[in-house]
Amino acid sequence: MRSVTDTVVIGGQKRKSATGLRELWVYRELFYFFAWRDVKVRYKQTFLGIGWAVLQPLITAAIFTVFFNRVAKIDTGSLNIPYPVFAYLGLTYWGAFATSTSNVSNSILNNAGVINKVYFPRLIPPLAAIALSVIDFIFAIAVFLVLVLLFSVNIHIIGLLWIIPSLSLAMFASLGVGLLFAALNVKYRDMRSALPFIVQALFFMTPVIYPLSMIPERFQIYAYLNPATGAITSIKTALFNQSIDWTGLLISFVSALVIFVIGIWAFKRAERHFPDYL
Amino acid sequence: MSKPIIQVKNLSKCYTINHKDRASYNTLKDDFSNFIKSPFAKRESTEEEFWALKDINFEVNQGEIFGVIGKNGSGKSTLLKILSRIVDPTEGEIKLHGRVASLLEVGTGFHPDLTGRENIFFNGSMLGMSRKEINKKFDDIVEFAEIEKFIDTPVKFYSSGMYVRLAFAVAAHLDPDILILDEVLSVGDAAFQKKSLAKIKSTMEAGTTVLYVSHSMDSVKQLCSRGILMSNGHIVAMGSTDSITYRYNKLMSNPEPEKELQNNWSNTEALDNEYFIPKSMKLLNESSLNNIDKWVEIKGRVKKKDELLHIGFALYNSNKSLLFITYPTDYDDSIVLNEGNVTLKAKIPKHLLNEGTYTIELVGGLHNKMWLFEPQTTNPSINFSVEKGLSSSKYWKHAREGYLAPVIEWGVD
Repeated sequence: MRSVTDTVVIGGQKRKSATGLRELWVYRELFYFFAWRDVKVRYKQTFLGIGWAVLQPLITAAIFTVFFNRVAKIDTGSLNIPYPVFAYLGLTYWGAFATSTSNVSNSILNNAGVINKVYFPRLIPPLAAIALSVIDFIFAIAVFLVLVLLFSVNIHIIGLLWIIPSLSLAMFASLGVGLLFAALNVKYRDMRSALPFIVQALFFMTPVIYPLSMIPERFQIYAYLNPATGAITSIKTALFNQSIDWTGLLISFVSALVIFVIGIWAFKRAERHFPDYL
Repeated sequence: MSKPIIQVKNLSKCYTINHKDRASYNTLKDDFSNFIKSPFAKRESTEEEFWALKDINFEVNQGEIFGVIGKNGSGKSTLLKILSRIVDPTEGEIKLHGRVASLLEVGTGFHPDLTGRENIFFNGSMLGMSRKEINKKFDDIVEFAEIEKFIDTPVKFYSSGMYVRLAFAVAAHLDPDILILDEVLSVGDAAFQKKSLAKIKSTMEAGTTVLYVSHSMDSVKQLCSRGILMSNGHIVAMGSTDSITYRYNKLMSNPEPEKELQNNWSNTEALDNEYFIPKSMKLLNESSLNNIDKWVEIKGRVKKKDELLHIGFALYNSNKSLLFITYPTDYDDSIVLNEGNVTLKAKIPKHLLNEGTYTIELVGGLHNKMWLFEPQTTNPSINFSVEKGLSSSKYWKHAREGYLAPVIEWGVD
């Protein structure tokens, strides 16, 4: 049986945020079970299961190769690598960012039944929602390595290590955006319809399927305000033997941090009222 | 043993009800357009405060099984939700000394696509068990639920009985210091209910404190030693299970008798006449047992004395069949009501009525001349119920057919 402290006080003085973190730690097993359940359910309900995690970026990469690369003549800029490999890598990251944002933002509504019946830190479902995207990402990135071999592209082996920090940046940002929308979603259900549009618009503003160099240089700094730009651009440069733009990365990181602070603030403020709206 | 493990102090919960917008959630458009139309208007004007709980105070000692009863809407569920930390209180404080598990529903978080095994792990973890604990108790849970064969089948293929048994089995194997239970014992068939009750009782013997909320007075009587009765967000009675279940039955059978009487009385114009103005009518004893006499009291003011004036009551059963009409002058024809305030008392003898609900209606008039309060019109009336104590005979303890159930004197030569 888990227990936070031997004496639980409800009401009275306000809880300190330190206990919030400690509580999350106490409930870590529940986090694991949430993530585990989401993954199980996801792969049971779909015929292709984990295949979707790979097929989605693969098919979209193929489509973009035809229309963007062949028809619109967009290339990979100074990276000079086969466009399908370039697009697939970007789409894998973007997919992780976009699905994570949407899963996090829906996590409270999707778990309304449990939230109304059992107490646990309300941050657990959003955090568990990220885990699902990370698992999808792992499969998708494995296929990326297969593509690298197929197209015999030279990659920087040490650069592979950059996968972890760059994905962390993307996930961190998606958690911030997702938490903000999760809080808004509970009160304003129309956010559920608004988010996909916002994500779609962001997709074209992010150098996922085109190189950053296509954006005029003086605007690049603004592109980095989108943390996904930092994540995707840095992994591309790290893998394909170019030097990372640290200034841009820093901008992306600070931006992600600000988004996260806003998201967690909104979420914490709203969580006490979840049962009133669910 | 007698150390308080749950302390509830001055607990209140206030909800604001929005009269204008009945949807439980807003659209951004609504809030936005309201703001644009009148950015400085006070929008609270359409809101009303509703106190679901007001000044709740009680303590539960370690090892006690404490019952919480009350009608729907009495505040029980709000109290449970606060105790389970799902909803925050508006005022007041609760201290829970020990590990708490709360069970507001069986099968919380069960997913139809997951197998029985997987659901045991998720649900168990949800309710507060560690993975180690679940592993240890897994076989017991499966055995208790009687679903060995189907443990690796998704629960969507389970019968409702199997589903509920599995859900309850997980819950029954928690062993917290404090267990908060809501109606969950009313699941499954009779045999399973019996088994569940026994399981709960045995965990109680291990020293767990239980807060049990239920509509089933039988299970409250079987399990609890003490409890509270709630009504309209207040505690109206606290004490032994017998005393609170008795008050509960009274509340259910005769919803706020005094108030109902007041309501009937408010129509004073209809009651107005030149002889007698009734003021109140009530049943003096509160017990619904049939083995005590019941006293009916009628108060009123005589405006004009008349030898023929008589005020009494009619008694109806729940089918609205008239059982009898009775007047003071039946008993003593010299009774005359003098001008001014009078109080009439009548005894409905014990061992006369059958089990059931009855209505007493005020009737009266001038003998053989006119009605002032004609039976079955809109006269003031009160309800009461009779149950148990039909006779002192060991052969007659339960209701028999018939309007009445008098115990009549018998002799054998």
